[in-house]
Amino acid sequence: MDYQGRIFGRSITEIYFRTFYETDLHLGDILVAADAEHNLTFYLRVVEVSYGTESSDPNWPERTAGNMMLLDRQKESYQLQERERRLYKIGKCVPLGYIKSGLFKKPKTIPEHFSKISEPSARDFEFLKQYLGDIEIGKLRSGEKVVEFNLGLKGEMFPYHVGIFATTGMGKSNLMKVLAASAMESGKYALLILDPHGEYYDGGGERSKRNARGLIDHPLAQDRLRVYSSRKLAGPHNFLRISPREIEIKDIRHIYGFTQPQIEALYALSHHYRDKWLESLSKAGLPELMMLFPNRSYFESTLAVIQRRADQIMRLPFIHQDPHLSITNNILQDLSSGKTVLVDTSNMSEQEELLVSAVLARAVFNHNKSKYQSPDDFGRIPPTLIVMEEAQRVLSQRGDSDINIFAQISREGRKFKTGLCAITQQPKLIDEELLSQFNTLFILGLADERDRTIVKSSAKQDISALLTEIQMLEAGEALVTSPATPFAIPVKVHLYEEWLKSRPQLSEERKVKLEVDEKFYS
Amino acid sequence: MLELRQNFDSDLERITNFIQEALQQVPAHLEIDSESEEDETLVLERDLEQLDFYPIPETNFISKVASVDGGSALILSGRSFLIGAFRAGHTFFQNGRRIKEEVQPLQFAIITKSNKEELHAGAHLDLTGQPPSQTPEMDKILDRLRLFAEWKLTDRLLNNLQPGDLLLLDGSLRATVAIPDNYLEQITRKAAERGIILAGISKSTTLYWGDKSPLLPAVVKRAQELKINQPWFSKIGDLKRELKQSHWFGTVFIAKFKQASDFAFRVDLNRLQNENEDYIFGILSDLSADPAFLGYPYPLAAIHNLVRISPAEIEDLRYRLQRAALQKGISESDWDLLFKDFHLILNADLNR
Repeated sequence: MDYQGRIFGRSITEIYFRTFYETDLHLGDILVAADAEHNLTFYLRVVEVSYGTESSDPNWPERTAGNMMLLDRQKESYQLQERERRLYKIGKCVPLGYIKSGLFKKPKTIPEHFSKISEPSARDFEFLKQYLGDIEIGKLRSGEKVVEFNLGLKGEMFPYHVGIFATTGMGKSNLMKVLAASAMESGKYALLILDPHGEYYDGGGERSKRNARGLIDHPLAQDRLRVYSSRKLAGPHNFLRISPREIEIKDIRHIYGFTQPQIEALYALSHHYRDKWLESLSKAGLPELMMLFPNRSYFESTLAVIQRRADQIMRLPFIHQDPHLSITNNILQDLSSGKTVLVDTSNMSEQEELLVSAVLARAVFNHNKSKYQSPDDFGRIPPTLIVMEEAQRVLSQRGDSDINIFAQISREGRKFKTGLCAITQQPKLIDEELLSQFNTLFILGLADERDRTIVKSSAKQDISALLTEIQMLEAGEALVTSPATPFAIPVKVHLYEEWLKSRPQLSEERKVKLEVDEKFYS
Repeated sequence: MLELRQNFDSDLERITNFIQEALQQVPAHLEIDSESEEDETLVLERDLEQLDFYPIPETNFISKVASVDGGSALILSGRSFLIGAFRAGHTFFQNGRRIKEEVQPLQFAIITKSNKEELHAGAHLDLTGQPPSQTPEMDKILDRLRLFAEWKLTDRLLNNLQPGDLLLLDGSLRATVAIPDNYLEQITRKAAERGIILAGISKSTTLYWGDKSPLLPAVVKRAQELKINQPWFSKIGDLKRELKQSHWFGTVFIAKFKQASDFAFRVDLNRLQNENEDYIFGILSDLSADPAFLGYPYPLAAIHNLVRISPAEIEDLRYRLQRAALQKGISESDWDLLFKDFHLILNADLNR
């Protein structure tokens, strides 16, 4: 039903309207109020639904309920007459804004008294198109209803960082797959997805259980997806190998705990061995190291710890013994050409995975930063997004930008077209200052009140009235806040597997063989 | 505010003694009193214990139910004159659904000591075709005007309803100084001739027994003593006597339409109609199943809510009147001089 009711009061910040008894009113419904007097169309979001009764006696509902209970007990029949006339619902809304002469304006005024409220059609949201982009993620949602209006983000916003926050099962991975696949289709943006759970390649363990699909199933995967993995995958992929010379002291400092003397010794040793510090440390015996410091600046035990750690790292299966061989350059090349790079680290320990992630993230950041000096070169770099799962692991500490590449990207990345996509179930664990750097937030269902509160304070739109809605979001339902959009946009994220069926096929002439050179690493 | 130091104990005891005595009184006869401003009382020589209680059967009723009621309100009091508003209205229900409703436009009355007689007489004449026997006090005129509007509407509806339909009125079917015998005779006869069931339900009754103690609770108590655990009705009136006394156009019953309800009502059924009482009470019981107005016929509740003039409407009318007065050049101080009662100022202050 199009006609929903009439406004009856309140203020700029909250508007109340009465709707019919039979109207299904939901939290998050977006409705329009027509101010015929001033020729304005107001957009309102329902933030609370309550009961209304046509009675001057405030105790009427309570009394009636009591009578019903009495009659139930006595098994007497009854019928509440004319429910639709005596009962109604009240919607409390926050105004989102209004359209005046074709322009969407912030809600600085209120609709005329008793303005008619109605359910909008897809056409009513045409104005949103100017704020949207080509990274399609789903359809506009109004409460529980899905509006036939596709929503896409501006990929240019990637360097301004993206947050994806949701409790388990609310659809983080699905959203990420849709977002990555949309970026693949666009070809204008680069995504580096660090996947410690092995769910993006082919759907992981869910593939057989619920027919889940991965990025490899996308029709454009051959052309636009590059996969690097430390484990053997069923389909085309490259083995993940990095050079020890790509690992910086900052990386291992961030991941392994070191004492102050150990840190100082590390820097002293790297100064001596230069970029071969890790391999040299691994090979060197303790006496050799001691001899480097004839005035016994460091205890033997300090150097022993460092040597042992270096040796452990060098023995990791993804560290290539030939220091000249690495997939990093290939990844940088892929990203430069607007591809999506999936790095599957699902068989690694957490420390190993974080080490690889830090090395690759730093490489991307440094690469983009290095192009900054040349406007032409820099102009050719596509906006890049580094996707980090369980991001609270690397974004929870303050003041460690000097060693934490992820914190550094959060603070400085936008200048160098490098954004971070932080996926987490616990945004409350992310440092508030770092979180404030995230401009686009995908807020899916969050059960924890502290998570909702922290997200509220970081969002670029006022979502304080939407906390209940966030709590009630179901799987696949999200709110997107971004400085690029005029208000927090409710979205029903495409279900990747369903959406995949509608994706365009790559034309034959553009199909190229996935370049896999297994021998290169053997 | 109650004075906490004052001792009310003796007064409270005196009052409770009176109530106790009243409840213990066993009436030797029943009196059906008329409205407070009238003297005549119908005395029925019947003991309370002689009352019969009849179970109300289930009835399948598919015809229309019409209900009539009116509302009035004093808008302004200038002490020597009153300004009031009134209206009447009706609803039609059928098979549990409202199929029609009509609320007449508000009518305003300026009542003064000098025009009250003319105002009342004109409306009376318009309704009954005859002048009234007396003119009530100024503060009763507004109620009369509303009552006349209700009866006029009742008469009109009798023309529109079909045989077998039910017309419910809010009040009794007893002629009073307000509504004369011959007019009620005309109405009840018309209803009977057209086959329309006419019933009046009184929300507050003027039935008394013994030393003017209310009859209704006594009848309900009697039903409880008899452990009647279903809807019931009991005939209080006596048709032979009613027919002898010209003012009584309805046979009087007390009925409890729903067992779970706390309320019983006085019901006047057109003494001239032929329909079986069981059948009529069955219809009324069926209409009284709304849990919000449990035990009261819903169509009457519905029309009551439509025609009543709410405090908010009264306030709105006052405001609009004052605004119009200001536009006419009546100053606010003159307005206050006329209509402001110091009680309002006292109460407003106390309500802060």
